[in-house]
Amino acid sequence: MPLLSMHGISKRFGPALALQDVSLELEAGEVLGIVGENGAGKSTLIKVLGGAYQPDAGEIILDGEPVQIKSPHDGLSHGIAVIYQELSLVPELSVAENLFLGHLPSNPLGATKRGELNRRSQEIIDLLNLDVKPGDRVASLRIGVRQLIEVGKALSRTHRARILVMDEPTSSLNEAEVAQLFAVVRQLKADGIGIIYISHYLEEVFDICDRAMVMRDGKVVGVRPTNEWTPDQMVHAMVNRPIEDFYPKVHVELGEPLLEASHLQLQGKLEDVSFSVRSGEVLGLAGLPGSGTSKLGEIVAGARKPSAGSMTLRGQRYVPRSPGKSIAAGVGYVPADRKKEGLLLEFSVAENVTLSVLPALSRLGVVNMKQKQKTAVAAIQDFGVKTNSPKAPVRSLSGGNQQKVLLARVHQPDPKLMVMNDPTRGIDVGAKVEIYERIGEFVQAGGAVLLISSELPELIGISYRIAVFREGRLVAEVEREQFSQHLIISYAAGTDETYDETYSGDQNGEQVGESA
Amino acid sequence: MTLDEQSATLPKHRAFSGAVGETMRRGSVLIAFIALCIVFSLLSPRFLTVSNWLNVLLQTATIGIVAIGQTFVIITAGIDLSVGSVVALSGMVAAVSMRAGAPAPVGILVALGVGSLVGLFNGFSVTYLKMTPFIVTLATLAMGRGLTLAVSSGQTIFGFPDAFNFIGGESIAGIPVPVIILLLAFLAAYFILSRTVFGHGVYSVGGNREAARLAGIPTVRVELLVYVISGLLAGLAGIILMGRLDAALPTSATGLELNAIAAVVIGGASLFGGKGTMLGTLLGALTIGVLANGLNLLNVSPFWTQFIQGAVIFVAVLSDSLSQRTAE
Ligand SMILES: Nc1ncnc2c1ncn2[C@@H]1O[C@H](COP(=O)(O)OP(=O)(O)OP(=O)(O)O)[C@@H](O)[C@H]1O
Ligand SMILES: [Mg+2]
Repeated sequence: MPLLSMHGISKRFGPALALQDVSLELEAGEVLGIVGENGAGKSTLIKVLGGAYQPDAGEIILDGEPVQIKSPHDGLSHGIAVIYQELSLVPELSVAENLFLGHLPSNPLGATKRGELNRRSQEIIDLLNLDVKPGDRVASLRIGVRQLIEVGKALSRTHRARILVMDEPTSSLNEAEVAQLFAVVRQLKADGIGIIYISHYLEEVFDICDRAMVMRDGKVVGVRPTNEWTPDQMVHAMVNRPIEDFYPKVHVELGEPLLEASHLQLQGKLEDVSFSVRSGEVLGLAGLPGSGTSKLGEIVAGARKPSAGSMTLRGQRYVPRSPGKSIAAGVGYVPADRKKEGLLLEFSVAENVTLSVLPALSRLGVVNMKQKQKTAVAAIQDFGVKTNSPKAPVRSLSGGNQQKVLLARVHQPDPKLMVMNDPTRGIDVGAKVEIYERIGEFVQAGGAVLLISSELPELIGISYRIAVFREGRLVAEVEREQFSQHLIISYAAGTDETYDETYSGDQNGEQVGESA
Repeated sequence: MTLDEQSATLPKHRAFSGAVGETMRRGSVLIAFIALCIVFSLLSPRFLTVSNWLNVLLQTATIGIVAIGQTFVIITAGIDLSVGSVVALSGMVAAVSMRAGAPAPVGILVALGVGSLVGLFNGFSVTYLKMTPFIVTLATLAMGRGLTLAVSSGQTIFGFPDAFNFIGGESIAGIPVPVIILLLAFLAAYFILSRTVFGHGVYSVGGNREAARLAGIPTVRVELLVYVISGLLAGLAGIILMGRLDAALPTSATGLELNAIAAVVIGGASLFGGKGTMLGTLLGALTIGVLANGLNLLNVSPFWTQFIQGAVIFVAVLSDSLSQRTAE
């Protein structure tokens, strides 16, 4: 008898059928992978399992007993721990307080039992093999560490977790953190916990999952043991067409230098950085967390002021005083954390995609509403954003579609240079290729891209040149002919050893959301 | 990802979460307002007369104008507690300067200037000094009231040029001048909030300040400006109030800020920012006005009037939070 089976689950949001007769089974000690395009219904399915959504039809059977999961609390009491796609930690609180948020150990008077809290938190921290203390403020931690704490939080909430569900847990982890997470997953698996693992990284699915299920348009299109899938088959099942080239490249003649930076300095973060990007070029910025690449991106985008140094844009002095000024000068910025720095989640898709282009859609400060609507509808179609309506709040979109809204917004003012920090976070394989193609078209038309990415294969796949950073310094510029993971990692780590385990281009570990 | 599939999911209706549509869809203010009107017209024959309605509008003018300014501030997730004091202070400074011989237009400009200056001070403290709006404006509330008392030595000042009596008490085509000013202020504010780049900025600052900044919205300028607008409109309300009473009282408009905030909240705005409309605020102010007027016509004691007003605010906010919960 399987630990869990879900039968004929359907869920409708307004006119859209997000899940259509979906069934799955999960054994104890098994890891089931779920993959599928953005908006395929993966998150919706596990929200139904976790009790966050009520299905319109279908049943959930745990250990052979049909159960009603009416709320996340219900789910927890059945031993179902879910880590949702959206991070839910409170940055102002400590690690321990976050781990036990909502069920802090307390005495009968309601006062928190500090000792017990710290002891139990330490147990979880040890289990996850994390280098943090229970008292550390979450705001001071890198996103990757926060994601691992989410796992701990999910575990702490159910005293006998039987099912652990993870929705894209690695979208902001570096390779070392992924390895750390997988070690925990293997341990939980050995303890007999059933695990559902959602990811857009197929290598991970092949690595950690026993079986993999592919969803498309709210339906299951295939379930097999992982070793009976080939990556090509899996991709084909996801996007319903074969993908030949994951990193499409176009041939571009490089033009004039577009951006030149000399001796940029940022107190304690960047040390004498000089570089240039030519039109037609994708310059990748690689480095370990804290190496300064994200900070550099912020400086170029006008979000942060350098403490010294200068820049020119197309030969003109470029002193961005605010992101707005940069956008007006033709520099677009895709921030790494779309929820905090990118989108207005409660606002409509239309409002979001037109936010940066309002000056161009207005005369004397008055917005031409007709033109705004047209622009919005065109951008939504252009970027293939899957939404019920342009008026739908961005929050109601699937994670990857939210990311597309952000990309669409940044493209609207017609930038010449784009600073992109993890532009494909949470985006499915098919749509990723479309974004790479779009980047290709953009540079072909004379634009240039500064690409910061937590995925080394992505950096290598689409950059023309990679600037490697270590501790705030630009230590090497690698030309495409010399690209290799090994070389870039060794520069980033400052050694000739192979540092596969410790490499990360994860720039997001640096504090996000700080304003200049 | 197929593009035709995407376009198929795009319905052909209006693409915008228009401010009006939003208010109407939720409609809790409108329903409350209409329900109140029906109840009062059944209970009192005098309620649905033209003269009574002009009276309601006249009573609502000051709160309404102040609430319009407050709406801008609240949508950015701020709050302006100083408005009551600013109404009194700007009126009083104008009164003192006119007593010292300044002509009426100068008096009016002085009042508007004083209001804008306090607003600028609030906005500067919030944006550049990074202080909490609640605390800043709580301080200016006290400072403003103190200044008013100091400037007037605690005395009421009487006797102004005719222009003031015109603004406060006369009518054009049967409509009291304060009501005309309210409507003009409303139309202007409605346009600014829903149609201009600045108005879009106001919403986006309240929606997510950092994301708005990175998207190119001049967030500091927007925030500064909403407090200036709030102060300016409080100054305007100060002129009207002074004209109506034909006197500048150092204690006038005490507690007005609470009614103004109530009007905005009844109108559907959220104190967390990003949400609210001018139409909602106008209806909110009218609801408060109609309630006071109707209860007065029915001879309900002022004590109970206060209680009932509070209860209405509670219900308005409750229905909003319930409708939001079911929407999720
Ligand atoms: N609360 C909601 N209101 C309206 N529509 C929703 C809501 N939640 C999800 N949807 C819709 O349901 C569909 C499935 O979304 P879901 O989030 O499950 O996708 P997903 O497979 O997790 O995608 P991604 O890989 O992008 O995270 C999408 O079309 C989405 O717009
Ligand atoms: Mg999802």
